[in-house]
Amino acid sequence: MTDLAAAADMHAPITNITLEESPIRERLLSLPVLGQADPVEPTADGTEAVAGPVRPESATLMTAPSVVLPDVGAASFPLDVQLETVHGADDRVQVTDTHRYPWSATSSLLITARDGSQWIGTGWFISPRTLVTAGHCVYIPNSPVPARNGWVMGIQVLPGRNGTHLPYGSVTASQFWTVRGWSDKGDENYDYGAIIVPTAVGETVGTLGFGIYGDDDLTDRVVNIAGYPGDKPAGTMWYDARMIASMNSSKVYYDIDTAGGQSGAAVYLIEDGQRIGVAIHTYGGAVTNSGTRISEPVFKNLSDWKV
Amino acid sequence: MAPAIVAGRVVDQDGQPIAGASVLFTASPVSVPDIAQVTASDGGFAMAAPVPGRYSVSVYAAGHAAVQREVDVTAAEPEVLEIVVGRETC
Repeated sequence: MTDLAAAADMHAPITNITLEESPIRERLLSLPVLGQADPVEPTADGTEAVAGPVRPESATLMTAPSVVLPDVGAASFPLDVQLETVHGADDRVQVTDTHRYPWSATSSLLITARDGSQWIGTGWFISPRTLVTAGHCVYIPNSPVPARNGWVMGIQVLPGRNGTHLPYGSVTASQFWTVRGWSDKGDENYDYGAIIVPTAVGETVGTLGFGIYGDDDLTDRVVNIAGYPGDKPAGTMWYDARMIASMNSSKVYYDIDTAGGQSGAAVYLIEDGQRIGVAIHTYGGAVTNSGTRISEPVFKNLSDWKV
Repeated sequence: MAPAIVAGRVVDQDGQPIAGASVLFTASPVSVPDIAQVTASDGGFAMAAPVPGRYSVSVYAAGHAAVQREVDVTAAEPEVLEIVVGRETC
């Protein structure tokens, strides 16, 4: 098997859904849909119109390592340094009008793992019933808590949540997707997945687009992340934006401030007023945070997972 | 090397368990998934530490001050913490 074939195989999707038919779609850009939520206009500089500090410039960061992760709580590339997911001053700004698009398309996730432990994460709608998230939000491989391994039992999806206020209610999901590279290898280069909800919530809250962008297109581009961090009041949404710092074929690196709970959030750019995901936020580090890049195989899987 | 477990319980100043608190690594020797655990009804949590080294474990509970504890993970033995959170003063 060639390296290319092996890499493609790692993107082989797996699911706990009983499949009747597997649609195939070939597209390079999946466009967003506004839904019924009142939209918020973005700014001209590619960021969202949220009051607060935005530092669009970015530090020069390292190149991406290739690693294998042993567990959901365990990313691993060998940097012998203290890591922080908030870099310097915390630039995150709270979003309070979460019922408006694009915020409405982002959901707080309350994840119940197989052993009953609960976790918080973030996901985003790409179609009426499909949210994109991190692989480690839907499938836990190689945990030192053996009863935790495997598909999570369920995820409560709370679109546009603002603390205790749930503008679009909540829905519980038990059908998920990820890929072999994550489930079998725990490799962060394949850390992405999807949640299938039982009702067409995305038609109401709207969806974000996603697309494949080349290195030249992403270099010096400002990207945005909104999600539900665990270091802020429970269930509140926080936003930050900065330029991409570096990238490789499977990862995108940036020093947008994040914290535990923001895994699965969209890393998106704004083009012609449209929000287009280019990566899925997954890891926090000392100088840089990172996400799984929407490459061609990722794009194909996400497209196939849309329902 | 198998990941170690950083486990423990979050309690208030009277020793009563705090359920629903967020527990997350805010510093670690390697990059970690950006996810947070929610404490169970007994205040318990158990998170995987991928490699030996120093980790900062932070706890955020409604109505209580945030707490950060440093823990040195040295082997694949569980590091057990009891984290006491005080009432928010402001």
